[in-house]
Amino acid sequence: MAAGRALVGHIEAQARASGGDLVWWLVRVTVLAGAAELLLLRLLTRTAVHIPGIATLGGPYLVVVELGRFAYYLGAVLLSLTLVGLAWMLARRASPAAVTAAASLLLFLGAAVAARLGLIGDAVLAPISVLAVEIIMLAGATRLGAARRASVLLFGSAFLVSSAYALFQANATETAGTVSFAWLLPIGEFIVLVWCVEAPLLLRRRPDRASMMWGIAVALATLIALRMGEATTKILLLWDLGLAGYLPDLAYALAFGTLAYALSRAVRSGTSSVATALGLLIVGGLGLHSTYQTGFVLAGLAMLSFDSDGGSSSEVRDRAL
Amino acid sequence: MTHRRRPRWVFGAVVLLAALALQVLGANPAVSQTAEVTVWGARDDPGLDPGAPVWSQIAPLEVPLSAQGMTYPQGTLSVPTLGVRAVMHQRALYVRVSWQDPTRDDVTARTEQFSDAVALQFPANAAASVPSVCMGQADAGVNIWQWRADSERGVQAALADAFPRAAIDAVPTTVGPLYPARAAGNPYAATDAGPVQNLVATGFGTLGPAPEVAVSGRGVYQGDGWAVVFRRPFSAPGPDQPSFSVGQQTDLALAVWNGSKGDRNGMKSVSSFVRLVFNGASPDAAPPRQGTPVVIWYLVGAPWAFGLLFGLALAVRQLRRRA
Repeated sequence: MAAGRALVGHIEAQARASGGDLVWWLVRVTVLAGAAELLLLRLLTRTAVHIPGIATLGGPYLVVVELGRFAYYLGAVLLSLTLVGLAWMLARRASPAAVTAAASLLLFLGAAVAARLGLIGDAVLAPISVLAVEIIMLAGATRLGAARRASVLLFGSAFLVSSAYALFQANATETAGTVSFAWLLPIGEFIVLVWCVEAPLLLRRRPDRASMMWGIAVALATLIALRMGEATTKILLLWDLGLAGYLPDLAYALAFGTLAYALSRAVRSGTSSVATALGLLIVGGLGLHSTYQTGFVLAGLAMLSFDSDGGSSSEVRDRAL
Repeated sequence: MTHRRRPRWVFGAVVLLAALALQVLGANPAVSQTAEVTVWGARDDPGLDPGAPVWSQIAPLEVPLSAQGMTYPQGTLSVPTLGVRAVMHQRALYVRVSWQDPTRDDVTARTEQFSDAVALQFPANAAASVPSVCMGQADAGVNIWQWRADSERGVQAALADAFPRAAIDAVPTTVGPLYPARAAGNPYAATDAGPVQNLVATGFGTLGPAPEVAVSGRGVYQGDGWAVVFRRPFSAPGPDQPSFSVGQQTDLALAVWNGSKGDRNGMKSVSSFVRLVFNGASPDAAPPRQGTPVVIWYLVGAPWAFGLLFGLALAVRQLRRRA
């Protein structure tokens, strides 16, 4: 009897451990799929239209587009499983914050499915999405060190401010109101740029040259793109990431450069949780666009708030930074 | 293959197959969360008059535009936006777009002059797609309705204003070598077709006029900006153009050109995608005018403010402890 109980306990422990590893693997693959979709579908197909004479490459371009669409569908499937997996892992913890975050992930997922089935409209889905982001942001902020707390609050706030515009605007339209909330948008954009600049603080390790070169390269590329092709670049920023380009070009160059540095540093130093979280948030973008992108934002905030090291999630410890 | 890896491979294969199945079936698992423009049903024909009474019954959706040629702190401190309203009447769609523009650019008599313009972009298949198409993908086209201020004003009137002392002896009345652009089918030269061009793009480098002249429009400068009404029947006039119906949803993107800032071709301000929802109900059925419900402020504002303050307080406490 005792041996049987020990065996069951061992199997359960193995399941928990392998389940945690599976969720970690799932999150990483989800980020890769989302990144592929962002690059191939959102960015490439919208850039190619501005390249003259590329119609001769119609065949290869079609292949790339189909790959991008596959990445989108793959990302959507993986994201759904990721949200369930993250909710499962958070729900297993004893802390109220983690359980609350798990509930918000499932609440959003349920609302997204219901909306897809036509059971609820945007009037219900949008507030639930915003509420889910708020809950995870607040739940995470109550238990983190200074750098992570700032990161979670900054991105969460930027998302909420940008989403609030759409939320208020839709409500104003339905009620035939005339209040304008367009002034919220530059504020959200400013906050997210501050988040980008703050990203390197998530990593306590000393900077390395390769990551700094990446950061400088991305900053220069951003500046050149904004100066040489302002119209196209700002269209791409708006449609791909939700940034309208209200602020000076140097602000975007600095922000994207530091974010690229932080991402490179996180990958190179093996800080998987930070790299994954940043990747998820970049793919998600700013503001309410689709349940696909909102899901990425929720997963990214959950990773940033509740996963503090680069190992298996079953070994996570609550470390203050 | 280890015991732990086998389930992972099986799991991965199932996921790949699921994604492939969704792509083949075109079953989009995500839902658009962009702002939406409701297409109400108009009792009377609004015509092409931006001042028609029906428009005052409907609150516009303010759609923000990308910041072209200006940055927020340096500009007029106002975010550029478009006001969009839509109604349907006898199976025809009417879309009214308005925006602020202190300069009236409807004369392009010189090469350095560019016209104000606005354009609506629909996917060829009128169904909300996520992510939305942009200038056509290899497997999906877009239909663009572009209104130009100089076309609205007319070439003759513009030339007369630009060159008031010019004398015209005679105006050729035959199409042919004396009107090469018109003879070549340049839609901009086809002044009798109205100020709206109906364009189709099925991919990059393929933007061109649709053979059908189905979209009509009229724009009026109202002192501080433009108001333009577009009209097109529900039924698709040709291939790569969407058909509309009550109960349907579709994506819509808008673009604005400001001539005095040198906007032309790809140099323009664009909006994020919004959804056009064909409701069909009378605007009278819309709830009465009221401000944004207070509950929305509490839902969004209060927890955010509380969380920010709470986080700051915790950060200050930690800093003090370290000190």
